[in-house]
Amino acid sequence: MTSRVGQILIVDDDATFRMTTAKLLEADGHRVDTAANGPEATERLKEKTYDLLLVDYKMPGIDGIALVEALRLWGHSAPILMISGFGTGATLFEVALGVTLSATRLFPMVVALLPLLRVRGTRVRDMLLPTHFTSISMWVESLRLLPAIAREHRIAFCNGLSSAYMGTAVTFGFVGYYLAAGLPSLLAGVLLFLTPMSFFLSTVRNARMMIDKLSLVLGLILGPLLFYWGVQLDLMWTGIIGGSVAYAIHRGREATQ
Amino acid sequence: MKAAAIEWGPYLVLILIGFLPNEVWRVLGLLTARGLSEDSELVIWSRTVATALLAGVIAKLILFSSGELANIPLAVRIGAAACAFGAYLAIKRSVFAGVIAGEVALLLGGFLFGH
Repeated sequence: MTSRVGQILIVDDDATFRMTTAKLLEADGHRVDTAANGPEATERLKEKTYDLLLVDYKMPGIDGIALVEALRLWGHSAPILMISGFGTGATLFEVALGVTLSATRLFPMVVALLPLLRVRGTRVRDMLLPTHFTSISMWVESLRLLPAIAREHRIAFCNGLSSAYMGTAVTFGFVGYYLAAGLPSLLAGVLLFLTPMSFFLSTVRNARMMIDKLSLVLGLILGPLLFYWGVQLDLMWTGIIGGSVAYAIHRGREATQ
Repeated sequence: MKAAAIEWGPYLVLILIGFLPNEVWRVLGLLTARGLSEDSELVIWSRTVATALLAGVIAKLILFSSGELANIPLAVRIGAAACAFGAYLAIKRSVFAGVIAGEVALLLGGFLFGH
């Protein structure tokens, strides 16, 4: 154990737990802040950066899972330690379930991608690697580039593309980790803006057909709206509602033509 | 037995809450896509759902930013995204040009209007 002193944020709705844990950590020389819920935690995180977050996964309102998901999406790199009524099997299972519900996007992504990779004689096990490799960047770029690539080379292409993306991500993850602390606030913000901007424009570039443009616009509107209204599983519903409406309009237009 | 449980516990947790929750959807997708052609209705619908979902993620990242990005005013973030889109359209639909324009706009906006 090193004796590094850190800035720690405790997020838990239980006041006794917050106080006692804070006292224990402060006795070890750490600087500790507390938050009683998700919104309070977000406020604290706007004020300063932390070396470690202790997050109770079971809280009223925005629970720990939703909070962590949001923080990760927004590029928070501080280690997060999920805490609960000290990990019985049931609670661990509940955490797993929570994460599972937040990863639904992978299902439609895989269903939309794999048929583009298949040739006569492709076995299910040939598809395992691209299935496992599917990520937002890989998916968007594959949908764009695959039509120009011979079918029998497409699986290899996707695997190569993903390996390159992951290699780059790991490398810059390391660089970013050491850079972030010393970077002025504005520049760090500019750096964090790279992800939404590149996702945004590459998705716009992919939306050639009306049906894709519709899905894109509906998603851009529904995503923030459902989140703002506090809808549970907001992103999943954004996909299902936005996508289905776009699909229905597309079918309707086809039928009238 | 107990020592082994403690030693392997974190890895089990990693598999249970890090690996399996994602993998379940991937494998379900793999099984669903089996035998489907790329222009089947289910595949087209999946693409629209995935596209809308992805757009939702993007919009949330811009509008409800957090971390250092949240220190830059909302109007500046929206303006920068609009600049990126404009530059993308103006410069031969280049994603690279659009991203650069968005970043420059965000930097200037953040510099002028506080962060």
